[in-house]
Amino acid sequence: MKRVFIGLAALMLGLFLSSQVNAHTPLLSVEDNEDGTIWLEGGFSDGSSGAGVKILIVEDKPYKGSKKVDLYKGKKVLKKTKMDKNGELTIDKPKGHYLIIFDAGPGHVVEKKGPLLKAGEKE
Amino acid sequence: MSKKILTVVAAVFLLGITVHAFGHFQTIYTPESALEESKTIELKLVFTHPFEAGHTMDMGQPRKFGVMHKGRKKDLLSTLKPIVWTSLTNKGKAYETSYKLRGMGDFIFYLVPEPYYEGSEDIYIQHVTKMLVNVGGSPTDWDAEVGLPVEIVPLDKPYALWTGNVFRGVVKCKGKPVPFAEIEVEYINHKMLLKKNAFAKRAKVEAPQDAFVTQTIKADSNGVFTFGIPKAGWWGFAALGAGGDLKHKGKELSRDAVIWIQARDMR
Repeated sequence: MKRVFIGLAALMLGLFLSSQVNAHTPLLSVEDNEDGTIWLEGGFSDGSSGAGVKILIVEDKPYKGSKKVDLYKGKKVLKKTKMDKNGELTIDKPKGHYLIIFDAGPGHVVEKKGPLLKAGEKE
Repeated sequence: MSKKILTVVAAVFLLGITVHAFGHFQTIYTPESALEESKTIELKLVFTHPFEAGHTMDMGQPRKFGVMHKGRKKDLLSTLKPIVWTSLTNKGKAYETSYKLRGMGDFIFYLVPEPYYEGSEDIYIQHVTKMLVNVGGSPTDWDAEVGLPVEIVPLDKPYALWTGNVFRGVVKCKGKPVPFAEIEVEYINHKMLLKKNAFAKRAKVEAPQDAFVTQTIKADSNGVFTFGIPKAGWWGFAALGAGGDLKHKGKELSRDAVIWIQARDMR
């Protein structure tokens, strides 16, 4: 009887926690600084910060090379980093088409296309 | 007989002026309040009668104009440029500016204008105004107090309202609720044409009677008011005399708190 009660309590707590998490949509803003860098700002729809959330910069094409590299959905990961304490980050633009992944865990991932490196901007 | 006619004419004239004196609204207008991405937005500061696109009053040099984002305030007073706004009946001095939004979240634009002398009532009117723009859906400041002498603090996001939702706010003076505040509500019934600095001639709706042009509602004992939104677009709320008994240049000053909301249809 006691086990059933504990099980029910755990289930209810789990449901409560999952509904809390699911209610928060991850949000990512990408701005082109037009100097060869981009500025990222991440957060959640409840206003909480994206501080410390994992950021991946990924080549926007399937990886067909033979070298062992980190992949994200079959695409080559160019850079792995994290949002700073303010939920912001400035990074260099890579060459070519790329994606920015804001990865706050399963079901809380945002993917955005990155602004391209233009002629005259530093690499 | 002529005395009677004169009296009637005078009464009609006075009534006309009295009606005319209602429904002043200070705008901080931009076409879209809920943006997907940050960008540069245009802002028009016009002191007008938005439902009828009527008489537009001359604005003096504003005392304060700024934006609050993530709790930080930025003075934008020096960015204001004078313009002339054309209503359906006259032209009035107004201001414009543009602002480059950066990052996600709420941007609260606020204005403390120079008091306007309303001759028909022999009083000064000062519309302390707020308008919010959100980028990316991230809620950062929308329910915060800016710290204005009078302000309406929203209880619902002013930029995230469907038609048919209610909008609630608290009327405050120096941070304290104003019980039973009288609030005028008006709809921007004529499109504001940014390039022409003018109202469009075509009205979106027709009011069946004057009480529908400027609706009047009251706050409750806690200064909280609720308004059901019947149509998509911009709605202004002006809490009259929220600042209490004030004087300016020896005359009564009505310091009113204004906020703008934008509703959208579900499609």
